[in-house]
Amino acid sequence: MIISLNMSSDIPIYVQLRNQIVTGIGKGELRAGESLPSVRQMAQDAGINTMTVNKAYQILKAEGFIEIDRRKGATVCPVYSKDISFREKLEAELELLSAEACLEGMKKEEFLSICEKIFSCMHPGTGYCTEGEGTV
Amino acid sequence: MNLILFFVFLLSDLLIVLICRFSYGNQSTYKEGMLMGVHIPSDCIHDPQVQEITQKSERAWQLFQRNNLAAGILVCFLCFLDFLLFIVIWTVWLLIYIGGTYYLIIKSHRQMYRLKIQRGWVNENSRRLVRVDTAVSAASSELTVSWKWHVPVLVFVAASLLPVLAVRHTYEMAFEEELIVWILYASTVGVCILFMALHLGISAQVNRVYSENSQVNFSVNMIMKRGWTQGLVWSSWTSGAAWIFLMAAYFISGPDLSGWIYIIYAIVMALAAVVLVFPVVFSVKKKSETLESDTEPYFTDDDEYWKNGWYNNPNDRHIFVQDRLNSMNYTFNFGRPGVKKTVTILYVLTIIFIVAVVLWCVSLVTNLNHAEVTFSQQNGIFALEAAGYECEFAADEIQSVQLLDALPDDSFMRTNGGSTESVNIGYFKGNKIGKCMMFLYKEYDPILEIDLTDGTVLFANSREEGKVEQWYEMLSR
Repeated sequence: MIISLNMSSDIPIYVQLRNQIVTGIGKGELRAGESLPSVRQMAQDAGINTMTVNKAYQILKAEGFIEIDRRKGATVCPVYSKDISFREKLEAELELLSAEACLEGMKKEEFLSICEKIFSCMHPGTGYCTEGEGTV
Repeated sequence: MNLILFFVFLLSDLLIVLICRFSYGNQSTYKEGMLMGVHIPSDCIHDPQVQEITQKSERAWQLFQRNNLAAGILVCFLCFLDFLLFIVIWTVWLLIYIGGTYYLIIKSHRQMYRLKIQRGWVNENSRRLVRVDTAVSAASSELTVSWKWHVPVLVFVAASLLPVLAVRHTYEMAFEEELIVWILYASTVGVCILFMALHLGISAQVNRVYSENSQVNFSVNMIMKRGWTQGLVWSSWTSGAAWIFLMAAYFISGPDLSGWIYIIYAIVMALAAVVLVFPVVFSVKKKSETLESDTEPYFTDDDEYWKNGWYNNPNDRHIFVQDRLNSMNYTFNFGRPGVKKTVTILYVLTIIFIVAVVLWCVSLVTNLNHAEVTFSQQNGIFALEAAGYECEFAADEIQSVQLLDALPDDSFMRTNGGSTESVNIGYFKGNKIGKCMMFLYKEYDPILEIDLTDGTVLFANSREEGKVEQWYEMLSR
């Protein structure tokens, strides 16, 4: 997968990196068992500090998206069902997004349609988006 | 002598102009989303102002290159008139040519960038984006030839120190002869180390994202990195082989080698340059073909960091980046702390080096042309000296002395010394006579020949009438 980091964004780079890898796993662009670049290589190619990459990788490891082996490096973990804390986190984030959409004047159908389109793009471990999917 | 100089400089000038012309000469062709090194949307390349800039710059470039090709050839003819004048004018021409080439490239680049900003052709989405292809980065170690291929040749070359020392102990070599061997040895070891360092540097270079297709990114990064690293390994092995061949010849036959050995050495060294350049040129061609056939190209609009004609990006941690005006070349990131100072120091040192070499050449030729051959005797030791070259010998080392009307009929080759229109001074080697030293003014006779017991032959003469006969008398006594 191709990771795009916005250097002038307010979002910290390690968060951008974490989010993009999670999205990549969700969309099936990164499959279970696939190797990620080493911390040093990722830092070198992105022109960022190794500590930044390390921080993102440690978060991904703690969240169960990747595993880090001393010899094999970082690899994508198989998809498994998330516990109750994830549901709570999802609900909290969706609540905020729903509130923002509502304040922007968006209709419920439109909001749900966007959610559906984006979610239909997610095929963890199976492949990429099919044509037309995910375009909002 | 002048003929050899003429051909050496002629070949150098042709290579310099042609390499510059073809490596920087494709700026007006739309490649990798760029014209003149500036990203322009593909639907804007037929804009009248864009066309005007590209056509003007192409015309100026072709004219400049044609004129300099002619000037580079013509300036070589000066070496038949006056060597000093030639070396000064040639240096000035070279500096003007390098400066002019950069001026033309940067001028058209800046014009195109200004037009792009005026028209608002800036891709805001990709402007500050850094992209990484995880598939390419994860397989980064597969993109290059292993640097360990440099180790065996480095070990072989370093170990050739033993035969060097053996030759030194077996044969009596003059300091100047020994110095040449050490310089060749040090330069070969230096080249092997330098190439290994460059190999490591290229392996550590950023893997670029050229396309949305990971396969294309992988191919292009591998083509470029393999091209460079293969070239460096092959070149290191070839130059190492050239040195080991020369060293083996020294070890078997001693320092008195036939000219053919040196010719073979020079040919293998030239081959080392060819095997370095060939994979790089081939990889640039293959990269262009791969990118042209790509259906999902991706261009990062980082033109604001190149707006002056050089790279200046304080957010990029890399000090060396691929030059967008010539993908075979690497350039500095002037946005990094200390780079400006380092480059200034490098430029100053280069200028000092060029000026020093020119002054050295001028003083060398002046010294030779104004050299006075002196002959002296002190405490039973005779000494011949001219232009810094000296030979001392005792009376009991003299085997024979004779006066000649001319040099013996032999083919002499200069090994370390100077041969100008008016003098032959220093170490020479004749096909029949072997090693000898000359302290000779051309067109003057008689010539004094001194044969020493260690096999060295000395030839000397003077511009003063009767002086050589006087030396002959002193030595005969």
